[in-house]
Amino acid sequence: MTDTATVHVARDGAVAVLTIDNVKQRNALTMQVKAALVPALEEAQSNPDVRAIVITGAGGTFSAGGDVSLFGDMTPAKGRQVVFDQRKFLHLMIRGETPIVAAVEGFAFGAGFGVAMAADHVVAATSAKFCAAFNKIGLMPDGGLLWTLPQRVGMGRARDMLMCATVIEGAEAKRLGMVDMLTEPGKALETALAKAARFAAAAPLAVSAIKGAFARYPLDLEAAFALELDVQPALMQSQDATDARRAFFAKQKPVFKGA
Amino acid sequence: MSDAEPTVTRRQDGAVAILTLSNPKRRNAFSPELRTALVGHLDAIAVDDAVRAILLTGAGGTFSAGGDLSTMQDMTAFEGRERIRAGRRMVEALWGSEKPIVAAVDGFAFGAGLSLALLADWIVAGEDASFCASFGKVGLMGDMGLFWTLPQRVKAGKARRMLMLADVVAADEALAIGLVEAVAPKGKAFEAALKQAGIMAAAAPLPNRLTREALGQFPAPLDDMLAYEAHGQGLLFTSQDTKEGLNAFFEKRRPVFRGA
Repeated sequence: MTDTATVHVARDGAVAVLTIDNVKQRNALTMQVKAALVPALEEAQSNPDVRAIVITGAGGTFSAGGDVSLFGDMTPAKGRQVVFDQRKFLHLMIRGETPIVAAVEGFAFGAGFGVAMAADHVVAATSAKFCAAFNKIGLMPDGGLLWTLPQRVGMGRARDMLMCATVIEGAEAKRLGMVDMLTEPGKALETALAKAARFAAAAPLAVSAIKGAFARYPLDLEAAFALELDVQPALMQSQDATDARRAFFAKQKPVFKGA
Repeated sequence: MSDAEPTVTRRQDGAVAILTLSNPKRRNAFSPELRTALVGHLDAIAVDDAVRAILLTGAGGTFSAGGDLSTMQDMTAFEGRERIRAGRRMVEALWGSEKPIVAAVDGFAFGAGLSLALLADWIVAGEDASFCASFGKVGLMGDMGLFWTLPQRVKAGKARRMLMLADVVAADEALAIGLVEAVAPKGKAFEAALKQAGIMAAAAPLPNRLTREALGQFPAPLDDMLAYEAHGQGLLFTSQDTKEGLNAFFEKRRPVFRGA
């Protein structure tokens, strides 16, 4: 697998672990990091042996956000392109077929917060800190936060966090629904791996269909029906569903193959 | 005495414009006079560079008990329609505001009062506050955008109970379900709201104009929001405020934003 200096790729059973490693800049999303995330996500998602992905940061922090050293010298066109290019890894995270668990220690700020919120499931240490810090330097939220955050915390909280750059810590983040599981400091990765193994054991075709449905948010009723109508008959015919029915009547645990 | 006439007063505290609903005989019930006064203030505030945030509150220890029923007697269907159309103008003035809005709610935010509070970005409730979509009690449905704003803040089941059964929600529950962002001790909601409005007024205004506009289109598909953030950020990167923000960041001081 493509293991670069800035994004390490490792395997733990059916789980691929992607670690952003740019510790000197608190794992800031430099151009190199963003470029490395794309093949790392593509390869993990195209490998049939990988059923879930964990994304985390090296050195006890998730990601401090964008690379501020680049921000001083922007034209509107260049700035637009830099932000637009983030679509590549955001599309892979949100529209990809493999479930993603974020393991957050330390800071998830700015676009780093965006990466965490683009995951399907978020595990965070009690000491983790989340902040859409953009306004502090005169910028608006990016990294998909305008789309992801209101879905998780509701519009009132989202406006506070996005407009006032309010810092939210672990326990509060859990209460608000930004974080799904809370751990003691240092345990986020371990807990995320255990959770990712559960995602990996779930029926993969169904999981990817569900993830695909969420990626199309907001779905109106007609679109939701159409999606069910298009996808469910295929799932019913799959080997996994056939095996699971047999296992159900034999009172056994099904083992899903993704076929 | 003119003090008893339904109106909305405006005063200024730093960069915050404070708008106070006042209809003392009817617990600040929302009448056409209040609506006209509120829209007038909002139009003036929209072009007033000295205002960076708006604080909306009610006089006399309550926010607003709802629509003024005394003005709805013997109304024809078309008079009612005209009233809803005029209400829309006010909803648009609040929802489309480029300046952030904080609501301080003591006492009742019922009916139209609830709708009005929910048009704010941030709501603080006094611990004695209660919220209710009371329209059904007088045979009406929710209005002033409530079918759009309420489900953005509370989950589907609760929104249905509030809209269909006129469930009364007390301050602590309102906080727990995301209907409000904070609860203040009795009599302290205004103070808490003014503090939050000060924070919003000190934030960089240009990105928040764009953020407010983007969130106002909620819910939108992923790519619409990704395009919005890219277009917006491209413009903001070259603003004076971003230069100031970056300088302050590297010099480890607080930035001062001018909205340019």
